[in-house]
Amino acid sequence: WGSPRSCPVPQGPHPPPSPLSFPLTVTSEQIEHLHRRFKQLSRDQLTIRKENFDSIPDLEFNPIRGKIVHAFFDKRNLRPESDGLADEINFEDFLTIMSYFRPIEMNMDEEQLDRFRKEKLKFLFHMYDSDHDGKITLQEYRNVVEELLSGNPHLEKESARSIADGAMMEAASICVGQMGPDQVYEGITFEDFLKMWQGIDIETKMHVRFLNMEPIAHCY
Amino acid sequence: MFLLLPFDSLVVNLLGISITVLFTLLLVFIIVPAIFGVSFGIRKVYMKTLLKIFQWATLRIERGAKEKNHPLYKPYVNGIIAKEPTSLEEEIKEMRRSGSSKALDTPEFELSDIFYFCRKGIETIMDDEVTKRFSAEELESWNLLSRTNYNFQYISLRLTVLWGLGVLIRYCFLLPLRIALAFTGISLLVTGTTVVGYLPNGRCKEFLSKHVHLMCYRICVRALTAIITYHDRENRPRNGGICVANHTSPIDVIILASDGYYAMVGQIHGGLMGVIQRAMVKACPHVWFERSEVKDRHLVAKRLTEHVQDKSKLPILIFPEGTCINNTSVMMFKKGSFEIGATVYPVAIKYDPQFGDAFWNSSKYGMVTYLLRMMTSWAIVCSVWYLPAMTRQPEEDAVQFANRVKSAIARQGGLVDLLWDGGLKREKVKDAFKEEQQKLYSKMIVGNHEDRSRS
Repeated sequence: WGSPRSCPVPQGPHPPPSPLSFPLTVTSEQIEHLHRRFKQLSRDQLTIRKENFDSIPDLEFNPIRGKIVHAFFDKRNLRPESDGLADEINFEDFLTIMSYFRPIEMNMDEEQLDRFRKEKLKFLFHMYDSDHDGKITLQEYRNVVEELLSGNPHLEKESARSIADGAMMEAASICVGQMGPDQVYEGITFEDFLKMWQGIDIETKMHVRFLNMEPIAHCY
Repeated sequence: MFLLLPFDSLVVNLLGISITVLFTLLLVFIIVPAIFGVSFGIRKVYMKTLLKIFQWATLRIERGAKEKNHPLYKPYVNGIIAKEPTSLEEEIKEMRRSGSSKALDTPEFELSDIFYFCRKGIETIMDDEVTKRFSAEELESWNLLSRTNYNFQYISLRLTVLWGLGVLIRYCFLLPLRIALAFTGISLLVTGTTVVGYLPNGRCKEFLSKHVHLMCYRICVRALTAIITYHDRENRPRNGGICVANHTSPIDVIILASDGYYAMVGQIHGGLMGVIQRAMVKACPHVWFERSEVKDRHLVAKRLTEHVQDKSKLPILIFPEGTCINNTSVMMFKKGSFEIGATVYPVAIKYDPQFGDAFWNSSKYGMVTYLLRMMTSWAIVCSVWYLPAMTRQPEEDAVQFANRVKSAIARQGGLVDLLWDGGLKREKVKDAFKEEQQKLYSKMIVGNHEDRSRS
């Protein structure tokens, strides 16, 4: 997200945000943009509530709109060891959620990359695990699939369900291997979740990139 | 009536003299240096003077705005985040390809599918139409072109006069001058190459052909008042290679060709373009395709390969996003030029928009309008970086190689790495289309699932 500079949060009694395990390297210009966006969404209040996200017309078409908005208020994403749901978030929290979508930087080493990846995957895990019990159960998985496929009005519930079941069985086979006939697969834990993502480099896919808004290098 | 006559002839005389003087100056200061490839440095002085004037103009606007206590506006044409324009299907395929080892032709639901929607959601939260246009900040600089000024109401009288003077200079002095030069350049190119074409093949012909091409391109460069800075000229493309550059405008060709001798690739056009193309190919082997041949990828690849393998032939100049001459679909050369297996010489071209915006929005302006806009700007200032040669490594495929070259160019030019996708130019996706995407996704998953359960 641009060259590392100190990130003063403009106009407000907010201390510089750094609740995550890695420092936020955003340029002050990008933070200002996000702050403007925050003010717009919150209608100049200091905090945002769930209703404020209704004012984004493009978000209506997203099938997992509910889950995305929910992710902003999920305390597990906002602070490392907390849980539950927040009613409203301030700009600091807004930035925290946005920072899950940072693109990788050139100068990251193995350990940082690994941590980075885990943070992003944890964000996704929380999106699936809606009852906060640390496991993705079959029902939760079904919910996600149904939501994703909700754009198709002709879709029967049965189809969505069977797709989810099939996917879940496959997940089980990756995580637990062969199961006995009376073994019940409880749900996908975070460790299993990590296993499933091995090989897929989400660091390069799950990010939003700012356009380079630095003053253009002079050519003379 | 009698009184008018001597006055009349006086005016005519003056006109005649001034035109002669003008053309002599033109010849001495512009055409002759172009022929020999030297420069008096007039353009650099011109550029510095302009900069000083722009800074002054900006200060005036800022002062005016501060007095009235209004925020200034700086337009962000492209929004604050870079949106990937790939379609739903492509992205999901790509994600799956990078992950599981399953066959791609049986898509089922996978955990990674949620990425696409998640990211799209966050993108819309970060930035949509409303934020895209303006941001209240300090103006960098106003270049006295009304087309780039969004703060019109803060201009004082002095500034208006200056702007008016600018318009006068640009349209009444610079424009005719530039058109005359362009005309000279093009006609010299056509006649020169035709004449050289009659010579028997040999070193003499090559030598003359090279210099005719270079000379005419240099005249065209001066016709646009292009002030180009070349970096790392030791990496310039050599015979038997492919020169690959990022594509901002049709002027890219002129900029590159005035510093090196390349073989062009493109589709044959009718009209003036066609005349130029046919003349050029007489003097040296450019690769022109008929319209029907352009669609045939294998033919294109074959001809390019043949050209490249002949070491005596010139390096090919290609813009993998699509050449400016033929305007065919962008997909055509996308990885084609990287599959040929020749050495690739990447070149990064970066324009400075302060003096004139060189970007060609082909959906908004036609070629002629665009050229007129270029010729009525102050100047075109750009930097060209010649990057070290790259070859395809054994373990990468054409797409990966293309991406590698693309990032090298983007990094050097300070451009965003999504440059090749052309997404910056696309219009906003229509609402109905977005809904379609969702339906498409579910069809993709469900349809295939049903097929499988049926079979």
